[in-house]
Amino acid sequence: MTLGLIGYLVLCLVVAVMAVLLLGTMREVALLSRPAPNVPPTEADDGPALGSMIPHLRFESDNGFGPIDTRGPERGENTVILFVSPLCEGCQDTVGVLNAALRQGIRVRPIILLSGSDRVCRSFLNLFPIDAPVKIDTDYSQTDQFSITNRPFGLLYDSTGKLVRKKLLVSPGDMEVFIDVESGAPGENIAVVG
Amino acid sequence: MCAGEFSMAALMLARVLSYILAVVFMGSSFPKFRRPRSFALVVIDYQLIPPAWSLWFARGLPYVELTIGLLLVTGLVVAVASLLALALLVSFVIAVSVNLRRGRDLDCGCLGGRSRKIGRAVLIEDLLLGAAAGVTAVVAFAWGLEAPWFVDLGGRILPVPAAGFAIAACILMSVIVGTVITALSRESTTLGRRVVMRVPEMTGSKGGR
Repeated sequence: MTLGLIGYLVLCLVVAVMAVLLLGTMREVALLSRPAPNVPPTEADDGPALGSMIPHLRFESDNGFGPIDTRGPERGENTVILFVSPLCEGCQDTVGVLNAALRQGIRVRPIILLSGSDRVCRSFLNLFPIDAPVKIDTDYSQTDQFSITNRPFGLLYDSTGKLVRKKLLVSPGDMEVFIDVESGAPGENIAVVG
Repeated sequence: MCAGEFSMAALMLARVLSYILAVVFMGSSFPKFRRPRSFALVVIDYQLIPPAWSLWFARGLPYVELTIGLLLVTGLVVAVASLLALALLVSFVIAVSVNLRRGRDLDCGCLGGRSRKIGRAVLIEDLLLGAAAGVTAVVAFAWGLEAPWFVDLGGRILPVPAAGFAIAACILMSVIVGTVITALSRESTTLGRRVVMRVPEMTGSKGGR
């Protein structure tokens, strides 16, 4: 075999390898562009049982909102507890929807439990300013008290502290529906646009 | 240096590799434009540079990637573009290797915030792409620093002012494209979402906080 032929074969091999690499990358781009598949509902298994009372937790918020007491003096209004992770894009979208609702004056007491490494969580708070008290839960101690394993997950307690709704918030639309609950609960008669 | 001193095989190989690199770099820049803050968190999670620097790195990287992709796909200033690509890929290999050595399980951020975990597959991909960038750089430098090889295989050299203009045009294009994608992105629309109250008076006793 001549040197040229060997070179040509090596070239074909390299091109074939690179083509596979390109196809792999294209497949990954296509997969990521696809909308999130319908995640089977896990609300029934995750989190506390509907009707259970809100656990009594007291902690200092990590974004300057002062102390949080789940059974504190603010009890008497509906409470939304949102469990999020800083690196989960669904969580970022969900927090954005809640933030927008809060800025528009929705009457609800929000508490956000942010699970992850301290460094990333604090950066998250800088990048995504939230108009609600946030507790960074690096060791999952607070989150574990609610038996939450999936995120973003929302719990809605009524004014008496009873759990009336829980949901795995797969998309921003889920959060819109979650806070737009029936009479007496936060988010009544709101619609999210834009 | 003249084109005649190179075999057509080497030149063809470098051209194919440059197009592959262009597709990869442009393809990986778009998700980063769409979710800039999400990608910044991924960079911070690598724990290699301080968070403030990570933020700037995350903001600038997609523009650099798109510029490299545009330079490669247009065949303009391929030598410089492939060297930049090589430098980036070496930095990715180092970042992934360090975190694999630390035993950490984190998102690679290869395609922005939502991506797969780092691992040997990611490392091998980066090494392969780095090798491709290296081969392209070597051939392109030997061919001529500013040779627009897609235009003229005879080896005519692009004048330096024209090369500078080509680089500036690609940077400008990437800034425009990146700014538009970011402005239209789901991240910005979600965070800037307006909530309209249909009923002015809400039930409940007090304000939100």
